[in-house]
Amino acid sequence: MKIFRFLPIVGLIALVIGIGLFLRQPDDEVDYIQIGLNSDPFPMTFGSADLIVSVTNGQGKPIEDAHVTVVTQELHHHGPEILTIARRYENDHYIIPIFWSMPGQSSITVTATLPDGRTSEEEFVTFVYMSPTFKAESRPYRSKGELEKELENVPDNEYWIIVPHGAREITDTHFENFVEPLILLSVSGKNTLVIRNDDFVDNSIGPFYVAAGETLRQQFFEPAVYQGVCTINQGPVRIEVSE
Amino acid sequence: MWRLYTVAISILLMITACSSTNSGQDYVSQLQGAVLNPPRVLENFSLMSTTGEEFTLSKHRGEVILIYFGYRACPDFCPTTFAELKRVYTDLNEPADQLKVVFVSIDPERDDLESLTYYTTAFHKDFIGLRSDDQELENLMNQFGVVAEKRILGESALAYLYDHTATLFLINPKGELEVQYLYGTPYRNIVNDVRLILDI
Repeated sequence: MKIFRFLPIVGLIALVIGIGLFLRQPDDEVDYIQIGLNSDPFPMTFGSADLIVSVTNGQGKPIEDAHVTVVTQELHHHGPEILTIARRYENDHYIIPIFWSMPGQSSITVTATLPDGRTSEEEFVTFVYMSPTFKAESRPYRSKGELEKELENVPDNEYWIIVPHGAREITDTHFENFVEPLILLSVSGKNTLVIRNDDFVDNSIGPFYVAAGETLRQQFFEPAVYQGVCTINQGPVRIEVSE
Repeated sequence: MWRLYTVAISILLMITACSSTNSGQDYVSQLQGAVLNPPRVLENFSLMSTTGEEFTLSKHRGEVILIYFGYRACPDFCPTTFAELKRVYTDLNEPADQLKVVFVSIDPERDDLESLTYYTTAFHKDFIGLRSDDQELENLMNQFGVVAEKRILGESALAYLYDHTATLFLINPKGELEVQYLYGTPYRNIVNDVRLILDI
């Protein structure tokens, strides 16, 4: 039968169409509004700073006609909420000048409203320095929503430590338990330690040195005890791995 | 008809090629050390070595480097780690062209190249010692987050010891820091990782 000679071709075309359909962004992802945040300087310091906000759709395409506002607040002294409206759009980013009157832990809430009325909002918590004595490589801030989603999806066998912005500075001024002094793991259960250092500076967490922005993952295969100093808590951290 | 088949085979080959682009990263989930993902990009470094030549990171692309910071007079961590590294190296059938085991002295005051040669080759003839008494050593230690603190001893002939980072570091064939091993990591975990990365 002549028609069977074409069967491989038909099958292949169906395969290519299938892959295409699989890779195609669903409509709800295209409609999704993504807010990204960076700053100049990075990290931010006491005084003037520019917030650099990106607003994109689900395919990563910049949206340039959004109405973007930010509300900043200095959290450490429960400062007032200050609203600023974006008036500059350059190189696919909204540039919003702000002013920090004090160093410390602070929040930035970005709201983007599209001409069709759709709105998206993200809150970012960061640390404003008096005058940093280090050089940090610029990287996008992570929103609170993104962090919460990540932690919700942590597998049962993983123990996560996320070191936030300015962790060491915050711990210097008041007690915050970012890293437990005793981490209990077990080979047959929670056997993987993941440390993500979102801080602007390198940190040692027990025996692990994790540079700023890095993620370290260690699975334990045998019972053991590891100890080391924590640069955040300025005390010892002990990791006990049981059977 | 043949043209149709040629087109079909080309499409299949393209799909195969696209699906295999990440195969180099497939091993990461099977590594048994503490994995940095993505790996840490290292600045190039160059230190005098016991081979009589400078050891330059950029000249070792394509190889795995196991690098440890210690000192010859160390009474505990350094000799134990290097005894384990000898087991790693022999277990892997001494792949001299693909794997370098490197000891960086944090005590250049006492460890000259001659004594370092004696020390490193006592564990294995292929092991390499590095030494520098200038800023290069400090820069290198900072890149790896290695700390070393001198502890003066009272009446001892040793005069002083170092409290130092006892982590072993694995530099991948791209010259990036990819895996760290805490002191006491079983040697077979290191063997596993080197095998995976070098595909041997």
